[in-house]
Amino acid sequence: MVGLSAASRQAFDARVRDALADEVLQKVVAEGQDYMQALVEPVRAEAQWAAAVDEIARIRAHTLAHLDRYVDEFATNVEARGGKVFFAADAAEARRYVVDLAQQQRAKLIVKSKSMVTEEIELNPALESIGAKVVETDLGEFILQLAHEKPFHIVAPAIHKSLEQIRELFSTAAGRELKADAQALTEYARGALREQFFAADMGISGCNFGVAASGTVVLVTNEGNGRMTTTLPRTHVVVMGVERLVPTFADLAPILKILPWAGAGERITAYVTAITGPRRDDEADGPGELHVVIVDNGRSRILGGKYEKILTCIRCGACLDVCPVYRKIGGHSYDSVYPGPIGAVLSPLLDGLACHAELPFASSLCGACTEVCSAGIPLADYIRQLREDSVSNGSAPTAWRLGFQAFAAAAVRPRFWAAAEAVALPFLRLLSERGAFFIGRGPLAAWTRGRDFPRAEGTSFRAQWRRRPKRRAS
Amino acid sequence: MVTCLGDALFPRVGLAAARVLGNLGVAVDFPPGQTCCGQPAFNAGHRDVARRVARPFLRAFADSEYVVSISGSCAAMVREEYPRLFAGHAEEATAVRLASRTFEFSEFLVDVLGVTDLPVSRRARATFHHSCHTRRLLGVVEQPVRLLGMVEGLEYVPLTGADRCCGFGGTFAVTMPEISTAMVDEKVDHIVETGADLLIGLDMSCLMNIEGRLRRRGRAVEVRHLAEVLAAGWSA
Amino acid sequence: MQRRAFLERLRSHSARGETQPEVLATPGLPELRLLSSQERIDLFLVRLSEIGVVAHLVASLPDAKEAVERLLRERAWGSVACAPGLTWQGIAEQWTVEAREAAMGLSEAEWAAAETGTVVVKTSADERRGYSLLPPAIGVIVREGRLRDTLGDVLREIASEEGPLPSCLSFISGPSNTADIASVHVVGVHGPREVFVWVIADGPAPGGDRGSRRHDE
Repeated sequence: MVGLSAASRQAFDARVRDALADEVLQKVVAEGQDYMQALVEPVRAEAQWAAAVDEIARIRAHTLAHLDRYVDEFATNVEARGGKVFFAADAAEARRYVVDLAQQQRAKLIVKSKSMVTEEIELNPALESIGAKVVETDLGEFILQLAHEKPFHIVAPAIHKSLEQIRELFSTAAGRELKADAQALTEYARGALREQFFAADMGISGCNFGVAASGTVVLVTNEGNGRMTTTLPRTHVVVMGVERLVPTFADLAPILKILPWAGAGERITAYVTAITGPRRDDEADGPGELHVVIVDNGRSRILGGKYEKILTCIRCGACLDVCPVYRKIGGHSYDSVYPGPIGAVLSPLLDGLACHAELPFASSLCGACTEVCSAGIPLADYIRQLREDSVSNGSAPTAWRLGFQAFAAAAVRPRFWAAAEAVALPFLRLLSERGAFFIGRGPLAAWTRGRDFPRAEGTSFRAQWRRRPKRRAS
Repeated sequence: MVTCLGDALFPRVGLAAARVLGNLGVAVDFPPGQTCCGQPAFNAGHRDVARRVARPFLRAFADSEYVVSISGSCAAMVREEYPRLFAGHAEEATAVRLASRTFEFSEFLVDVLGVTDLPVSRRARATFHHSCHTRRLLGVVEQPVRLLGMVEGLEYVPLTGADRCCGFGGTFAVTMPEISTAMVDEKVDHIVETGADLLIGLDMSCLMNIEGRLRRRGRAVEVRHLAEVLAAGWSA
Repeated sequence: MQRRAFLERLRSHSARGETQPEVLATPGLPELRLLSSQERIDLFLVRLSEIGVVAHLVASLPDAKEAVERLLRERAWGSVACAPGLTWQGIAEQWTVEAREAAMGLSEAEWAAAETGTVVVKTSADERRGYSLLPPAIGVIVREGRLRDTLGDVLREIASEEGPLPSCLSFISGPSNTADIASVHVVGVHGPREVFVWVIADGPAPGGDRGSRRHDE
């Protein structure tokens, strides 16, 4: 196990080093965070915001407490409106259903609108392996598909790409030089994808929220590709996490107050699309078939446990937009479908701590994520609790465990502590005066590689306090 | 509350805080039974060890009317975490009582002592670092700024990105040193931008981190805990 | 996995506790409350403009259709896509083509929300999804009586209505847009680039006006 975890740590460090050295990434990610913060902070300060967050937390907690009943109700209503529901226990089952469907329907061209769950279950490669062409239509995902990269952010997946990098990608795909202008590049994407929407045999989307009472699938989008994907192809497949439900349509109200601001810095997104079943018999457009794949993939394990609140996440991305660690290392360093603070908690819980050993420790516990979470999830606290789990299952480094125990042994014996200080501190002063020699060497190497060590006074507070001139009581 | 870091590495800060409190007519005591509040172990996930360390800490302050901490994050540990850490344990009531009597230094001056005026002067262009735990867990934001406003001759320049973490994060600084250094680099950049010759803060852990990087980058900005500024500039 | 087993797995993990009620109480969120229909229309027009919609207030449906025809001539748009029937009678006969070919799509909103500048279009046998999606420009008429204060009000009304929902309800707030390319805001991506709204001030919904109604001009 030690060998495995050392390799995992090395790989993590390598990813981090790449991110830190990537000047474009450093600039663009910071700018993206600042851009969102400037838009959202004034709104977040309003009293209405906190009330809406509490409301979201209340609705989602209730939903999770009765999740089986709501999933049952949702599925029944989807079917009553002519849709089909498949219950996928895990990623493999979900993949198999969609792949089988694509095969049965001889779907050669598939358009997709953004769905983190489809990333989680690794759907695209599975579809491609049966010869289907899968086209990502969300602009950010479209960019990633051309660059052969994974999502960098859960809302704006290609936020790490500069204008010039995108221009190069699009120009190569277009076979001609395009202008370094966001408008021109967007025009290109619109043109390139339009035909695909019309020609596609199948459209696959995610689901921001399912409404149990009506069997409705709700998509919250800006670009219009969500509508195109779910309107034009003859078959629409929805892939959704089992926890993405609300009881009634009215329960969307507080979510739609917060999600557009936190996710996109605006009061409302251009589109909220509520789909209930496939087209009716008397309708002239819309998909003839609707399939909803409800995915568990480890979520039920989190239900009822100490991390349950993580399932109330509305995928707004606010935590990524304030995380100072994400600001430096970017989404790819996390090497998980979900990056940032949400990923640091969700990925170990879904995949197991062993697969993401570093993530709970790649945080300074500053608490910014908890502060902005749209659903009131105590993210920083969960990250710390995952560290506790790491320690109790024995995977935390032995050196630290022993070190803290030694520290504790001294800390519970104040007289011993004082004596230890009397010995260690003059030595420390000596070290700090010869500071230059110890840069990058010795037990403090991890500190001194990047920072000077403070000049130690050589005696402790308690020693100086005892020796202070006694003040006469006035 | 002098904290383990304050005790070992920054005695001058504890002494300065004691002097300021004394000047304000507060009878200051240092219960020697205190060593560490347990936060380093707690944040690193070693809950049981943290509790072990915290127990004598509880006992040390049993007779204290107020506990004033020179570290916001340590005060937050006691106030926010102790009740939960000791929930269901014999010490639960003691922990809750201690939590209700524990304050961060600037918070104590402004909210408890009601200080509105200080005979303190210091001529300098100064900026201020709001530590994450002090700001987010204790809600202490205004108090230090208000106290700085009482220092005659001090030109206060707000820091850009003031609410962004300096990268210390306890063991994080040494377990993920490259990320930590990148974070403190940005903090140093913002400090340099202000043109300040003095950086003031409430947590020596953060200040130690920032000062370490300032020095490594050859910057001469003076770094002081608020208590040091008040004590040193106090007119007799 | 079979439905029963899937649900059972959820049920067995769930920690219901005594604190969670069986049924969720209706949300008690403080909402914007406008006093008069006039205020509602005023706010709606302001918000529409803020999100890039060209909006006009007209007195009647014939006036709205006249405004549409004027726009079509101004922009030299020779084709529209809209539902046949009373609303677009006259326009439909002259210019209708498939939504994919049309320069402009025309719809009537089932609801609208003033606070966000949202219009809600629903599908039916006549009202195709394409009308409000495929053409590069779309126009929507909103009758005063269908305008609500907030999106929450619209959602609650929908939730309380009897009968099944339409197969597709589109809440449209402005033209399609993105900031995915280097955080630069661009209008017009896959959906329509231009959105026009005509608000027909032909009287509030019953009980929808809590103050005195101001007359225009």
